[in-house]
This record gives sequence, C-alpha cells and structure tokens, in this order.
Amino acid sequence: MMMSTTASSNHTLDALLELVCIDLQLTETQDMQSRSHYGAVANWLSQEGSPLREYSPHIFPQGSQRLGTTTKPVGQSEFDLDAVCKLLISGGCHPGELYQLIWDRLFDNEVYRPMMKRMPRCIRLEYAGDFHLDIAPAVPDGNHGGNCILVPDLNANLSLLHPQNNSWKSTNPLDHADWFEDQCVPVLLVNERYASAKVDPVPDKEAVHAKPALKRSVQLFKRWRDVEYADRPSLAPPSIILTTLSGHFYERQQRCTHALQSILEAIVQMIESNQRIRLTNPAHPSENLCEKWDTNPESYRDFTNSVTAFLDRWNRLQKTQGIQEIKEELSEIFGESPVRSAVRKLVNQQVVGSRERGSLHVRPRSGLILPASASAGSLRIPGNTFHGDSN
Amino acid sequence: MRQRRLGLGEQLAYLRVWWPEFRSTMQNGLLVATGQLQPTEISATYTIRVSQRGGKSPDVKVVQPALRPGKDGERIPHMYAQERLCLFLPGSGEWKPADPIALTIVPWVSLWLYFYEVWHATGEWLGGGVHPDIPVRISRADDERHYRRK
Repeated sequence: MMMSTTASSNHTLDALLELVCIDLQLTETQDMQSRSHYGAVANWLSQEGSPLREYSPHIFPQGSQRLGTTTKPVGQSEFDLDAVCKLLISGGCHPGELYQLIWDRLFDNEVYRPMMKRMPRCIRLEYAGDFHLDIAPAVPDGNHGGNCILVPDLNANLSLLHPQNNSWKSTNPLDHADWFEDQCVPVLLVNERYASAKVDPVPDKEAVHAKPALKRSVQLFKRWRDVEYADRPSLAPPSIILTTLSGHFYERQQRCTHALQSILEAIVQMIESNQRIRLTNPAHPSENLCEKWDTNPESYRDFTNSVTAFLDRWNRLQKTQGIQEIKEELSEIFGESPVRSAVRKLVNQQVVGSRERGSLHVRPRSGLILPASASAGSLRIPGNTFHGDSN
Repeated sequence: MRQRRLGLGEQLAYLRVWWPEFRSTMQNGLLVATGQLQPTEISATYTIRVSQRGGKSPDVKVVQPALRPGKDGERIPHMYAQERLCLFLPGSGEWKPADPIALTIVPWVSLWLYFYEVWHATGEWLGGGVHPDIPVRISRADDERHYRRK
C-alpha cells in the first residue's frame, strides 16, 4: 500500500509512539503480580495431590500476555490474565463436568474459594485490587486435532450439570499465538520459543524497543479501542478481532506509524467495499472470531464508523506540525496521560541528556536539533542558560 | 578563544556561511538576520529575527507564528517583556561580543523554540535556566539548576 506521508516526519513520531507503548505496558508490579498469581494457581491445579493430576493437566497462558500485546487498563477497568487448563479425559465428558472438576479443585483452596466467579467459558478469580485471572477449562478437540481444544460454553442460567447445558466451543489459542508471532518481523533475534512444559510460563515481558512493530501496533490499536469505547464498552471490538485483523494486514514495516496505517487502510477498504468483515482463527478455520459482531450488529456498525474516523485521525496526525498539536491529537486517540509522559521522556531521551553532555548539535539551514553530530557540517550547540524577567 | 569583539561585517559573514537561507543584512550600523527554523521534524516552522547593533547583546524575536501564552494565560518563560527571547545568562560569559551569532544565538533560538513547544505540550519548561522571579512550573532538573546558579 502506498504511504501518503513523508518518511522524515515519521521518525520522531515513531519514537514518540514507542514511548507511548512503553507507558501502556503493565507496570513492573502489575507484571510481577499477574505472574505470581498465575504461577500459584497453575501449581495448585497441577501439583501432587491434585485430583486433576490423573488427567495430565497442561496449563498455559493465552491472549495478550502470551502474544506480548498487553496494555494497561483505562480508568477503573481491571487488568487480567487469561489461562487455559487442558485436561486429557479419555472417553469424552460433558462440558459441565469438566467445568465442575476444575471448579472443585479451586474451591478446595480457602484462598481461592471466595474469589471464584462462574463465567460462561471460564472460571474467574477476582483478586483484591484491580486484577483477575480467567481460567478456561479445556479438553483436546479430537475432531480438529493439533492444538485445537474444546472449552465449555455454558449458559449461566442453567446448572452446570444440566443435560441441556452441553455446548462446547472449539478454539486454538496456541496456534493462533504462533501464527501471530510468525506475522511479526523480529527486530532482534531474541524471540526464542519457550519449550513446552506442563505449566507454561508467561512469556517474558519484551522491552518495547525489541517488540516488533506489529505488536506495538496492536497495543496502540487496543489502547485506541479502550479510549474510544470508554463510554460504550459493551460495543467495543474484542482484542482477538483487532489482533487478528492486524496480523492479516501488517505489511512487515519496521515503523509502527506505517504499520498501523496500512492495517487501518486495509480495514477501511474492506468496509468501503461493503464487505462485511468476517474472521476465523487462521490456525483453526472453523473458529469464528466475530461472534460478537454476529450477535450484536450494532457493535459491528459502530466499529465501521469508529475505525474509519480513526484512520482519518491517523492521516491527519501525520500531517500535523507542532509538538503541542501532535500531543493534542495523540491524546485524543490514546488518552492524555501516556502521551504526556511520552513527550517528557522523548525530550529527556533526545535533548536533555545530550545537552548536559554537551553533545547537542543543530543542522544549519533548518535548525533541526540533533542529539549528536549526526551529519557533516552540523554545529555543536554551546552551553547556555535561559534567562528571563518578570515584565 | 578570541576576545576581540566581532564587527558587524564579520557577524554578517558568519551568518551567510552557516545560515545561507536567512536574509541577513547590515544597514546604518544595524545587523538584521531573518530566517526560518524548525527544531524537530514534528515541530512547526518559525520565522525568527535576530538584530544587533554594534557589539551589543543581540535582540531575538519570533516573527511568526505569533508566540502564545499558556493554556490558562501563563506567561511564556524565558522572555524579556514577553517580546524577546532570553537565551543566555548576561554577564556569565556564555555569550560575548566576540562570539559569532551564527554559532551561538541562532542554535539557541532553535533550542528555545523546542522547549517552548514542549512547554505547551507538557506545561513544563524542560530547558532549565534562571528565571529571576516568575513562578513558572519548572521541572525538578530545572529547579536544581535554578538554585545552583543562584
């Protein structure tokens, strides 16, 4: 796809967006917290003495923490970790039975008992503070094979073991994550796949500068969603849709300004050609990822309007000049706080440090400030102290 | 370091070498250089004017776009009379009549414009400096430098 913007203006903008992404990462504390909660629960489910042990449990994180696309929650909402507890149950079982098995094991633990909440497809543990852990019970999906799993899809109004409460949902989060990883151009060759284990660790939090542009774009796309839909969360497009669309339309650009642009352009192009967007899991072609849009057409209509407006805004942003003006545009999209902090960090990174070291330069003709002597003929800026008066 | 005060002709020559796109002239003992600066790729482009009369401290103004006060009417930091930029500490030797404007004042203007834009974006002047008695919102680094100088 053709880029409508000048390459030069994107460098600083991209640096700014990278800093926005850094601010969107979970804090060190939040990251540690979710890891240690996950570790403790996984241990409780799989340890010696657990009745689940005879089913060779395999516990693994899914969703954004597996993909490396987590974003800090907006406002009052919580951050979470999604995990799967897969059991090998020979001879098949009823979805309610599977759910009950894992429910009972968690219920045996006095700490978890008061935190448990029944959800249609998972058991939620609500921690004090702003964190919850969702555990989806699962069995292998023999019909689809590979890493496909079946997850109970239960009606909350019926008892778990009610004969009519017998739906499964077939899904494949592991291969979806691998597919997504394959779409990324690794910036550094550090993306070693973690070895398979009974309890998979939550992948290490990647430093943002080592994060492929696709992952950063997804973080920004999700953050836009969180801000845009803060007043109507029930219509918000699910992360899996934004992530999968991004994976499909990413064109392996190095800069997330460009990456997000081509993702948004491709989405808007589909909308404008009156194609209803349909998405399946690339690793599981019969898994429909757009259930929400099927059951709630208003949420689809809303997305088409909102994402089109987002593209307009993205195009406008790249033509905007003035640090304040850009900061205002970015704040409208991603919220004031991460943008403001990104601007401050950019100033420290690019100018304040160099100035203190005396290595700040300026490019004659344009006046462009350079952190170091980047080109022949650039001028070193001598030290100075801004002064003033009170008139 | 050269101690001899530079003549206007010499100042003019430096300006024409380093800032060839500026319109630099000398008339009746007054040096005037007008040109455009864009401190970063995402910054606005400013037209600025530096003028100097016989070895005195140069006057620096932003011609356009017009500088704006803060969102709530705060005064722009580091200006004289909200009209001229205060780029260096007088009497400190940071700038002397022996120094070419092209290599000191003009680069400082770009830096000033940068911190001016950042001030609008963040509400903080991150460029440090000494400000006699204006209660501007200053960063901690700024603060420290402020007191160290005093």
